[in-house]
Amino acid sequence: MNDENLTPDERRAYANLPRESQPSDLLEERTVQSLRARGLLGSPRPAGLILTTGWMATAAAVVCALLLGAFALGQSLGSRQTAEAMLAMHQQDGEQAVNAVQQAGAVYLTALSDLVQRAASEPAEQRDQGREAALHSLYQVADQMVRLAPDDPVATRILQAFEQARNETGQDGSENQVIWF
Amino acid sequence: MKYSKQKNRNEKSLIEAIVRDGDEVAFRQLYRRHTPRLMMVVQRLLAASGRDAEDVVQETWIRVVECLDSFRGESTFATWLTGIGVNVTRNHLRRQGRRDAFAWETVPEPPAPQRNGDDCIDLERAIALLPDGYRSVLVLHDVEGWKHHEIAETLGVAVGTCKSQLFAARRWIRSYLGTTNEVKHE
Repeated sequence: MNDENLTPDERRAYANLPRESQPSDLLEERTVQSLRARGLLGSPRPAGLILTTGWMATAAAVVCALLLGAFALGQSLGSRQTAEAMLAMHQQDGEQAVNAVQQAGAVYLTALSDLVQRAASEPAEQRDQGREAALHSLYQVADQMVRLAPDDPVATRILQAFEQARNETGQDGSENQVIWF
Repeated sequence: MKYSKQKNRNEKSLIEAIVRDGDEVAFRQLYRRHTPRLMMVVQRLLAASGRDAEDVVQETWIRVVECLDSFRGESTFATWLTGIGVNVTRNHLRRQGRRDAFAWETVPEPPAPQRNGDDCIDLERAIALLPDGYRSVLVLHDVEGWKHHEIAETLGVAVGTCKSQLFAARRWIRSYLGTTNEVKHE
């Protein structure tokens, strides 16, 4: 056949040609979106963040705080004094707060759902840390709510439940090893 | 962190995760690992860069994921991916009206030598000026290191045709560069 060999110089020349060309970042996103649209890839998930129980617990804790704060605000909408106090603190109106409640609620449910689904496959240590983080934030928010609205029955009972549990287990709160941020 | 561990996942586990779960993280890893090489091959086959090459690469990945469950590991994943990329490129050229693509026409008369002094750039330019069909065989064989039977199978031609096309393509390149295939003895 006519398959003559390359000379050493030619081999060297071909070997020296670049082998890679960096594509744009946009191409990756375009490709991923096309695959999603065809149902070939799952729904998007923030890479590298909400993949462990620790991170999910963190997200859950933050959302929990938002939810409880927003819930308290919803309660206080009937109380002009509290509403005015919140308004002064956050410089936002009631409509914005209600929107925040709805948005935070949706994110909260998603985060908790992920936490529950992944809890079974995660090490017990991580699972416990996630649970503690969620409880810790719940306690902190309830504590603040009672300061803001001392007569709020829900926040008061949450705090009472924490106190009761602490008394029953003998914990003074200093043993919690939650990394708070 | 789980994501950090995934950075070191082997190709097989990435492929399985994509097929089984539509795992986006796994896909992105596979994509980032292979796309720079695929992009270079596609740019050479098209003799063009920019949007055309990106469109071909995107379509190639879509085809790849669509039939990923049929990948049996008989060749490397890179070779399998490139093979699909070659065929997507052929279709792209045809859609563009480059009807001579892979038609195995007679190679045009070799041009007069045109060198600018940079061997790498001169060779790239010479490859880009080859007719599409000749260029594909030369790129796959001499640049990518494929065997004749692999090229013939991918392009759907006889091995003999593949060899004669390579012969003509090399002769054209040598003429363009003003070189010969004689080995220098010092």
